[in-house]
Amino acid sequence: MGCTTFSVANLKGGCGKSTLALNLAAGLMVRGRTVLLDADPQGTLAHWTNHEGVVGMPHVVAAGASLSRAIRSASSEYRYMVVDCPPTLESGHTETVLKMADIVLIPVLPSPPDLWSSTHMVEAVKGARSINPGLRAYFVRNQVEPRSALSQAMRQALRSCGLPSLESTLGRRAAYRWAALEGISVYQFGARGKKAVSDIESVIEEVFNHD
Amino acid sequence: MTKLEDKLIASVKKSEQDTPDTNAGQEKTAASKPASKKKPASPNPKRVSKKPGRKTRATSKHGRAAVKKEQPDLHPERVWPD
Repeated sequence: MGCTTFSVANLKGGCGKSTLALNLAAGLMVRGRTVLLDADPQGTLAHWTNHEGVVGMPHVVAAGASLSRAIRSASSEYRYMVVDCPPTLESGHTETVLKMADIVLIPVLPSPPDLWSSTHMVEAVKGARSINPGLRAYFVRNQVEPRSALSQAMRQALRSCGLPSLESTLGRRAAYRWAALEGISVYQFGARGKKAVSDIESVIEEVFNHD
Repeated sequence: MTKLEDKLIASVKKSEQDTPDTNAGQEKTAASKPASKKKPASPNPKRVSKKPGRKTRATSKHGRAAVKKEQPDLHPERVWPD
C-alpha cells in the first residue's frame, strides 16, 4: 500500500495550519508510520516539536531546499505523510505540495476575513488539479465555538466557496495551545486532550470515509 | 438560511468581485506602467532658474509678498566682529 499524502494549507496566516498538521500527523501515527513534513522555509514545526521521551509523536522533518524531492523520498518510507504549507503562494512551496498531495485540508477560522481569503485557496486548488486531478480538498472549520452564531453560519457560507467543507470541526480548546507549548500533540496530553483528540479523530474518519 | 449566512455569502461574492486576478494584475501593471520620466539634471543645480533681471516677489515694489519688516536678530548673544 502506498503513502497517502495530506497537506494542510491556507494562504491566511494564523488559521491553525501547523496545529492541525501536527495533531493530524499524531492521529495518523495510530494508524500507520507517519511523517510530518514542514514545508515552511522557516521550519517552525521542526523546531517546535519535542521528541525527547515522547511516545507516539510523528517524525518531523524540515523539507529543506528541495520540497518535491523530500516528498518523494518520504512517500517511499512512510504510510502517511502530512505536509504543513507556508501561508503564501509566492515561495512556490504550496503550489508544489498541492500538485503532489492526495488530500488538502484548509483550516478556516470563523471570521469573515478568513472566509474571504478562502476563495484564493479555491483558485490554488483548481490550478493544482490541472496537474493533479485526483486532489481532494476540504475546508475544516477551526476554533469553532458551538454557541457562536458566526461559527454556525460559516458552515453554510463555506459551501458557497466552491469546495466541500467537513462536517467535523475543531473546537476552540485550550488543549491545542497547551500541548503546543509543550511541543507535543493532543494525543500525548492525557485526559486534558481527550476532547481535542475526539475532534481530530472525527476529521480523520470523515476524510477516510469520503473515499 | 439565516440572515447571517446570507450576509456572509454575499460578502464572499463581493470579495471575489473586488479581488483582481493576481497574475493579470501583475502583467497589466508591467505593461501599462509608463517609462519613468526623469527630469534632466540641471547644469547648475544650485542656481535658481529664473531669467536674469526678473523681479521676484521679494524684490518687487508692488509684490504682496515683499518683505518689508525687519528680520529679528536670531542670535542676539553673538558678538559680531568689527
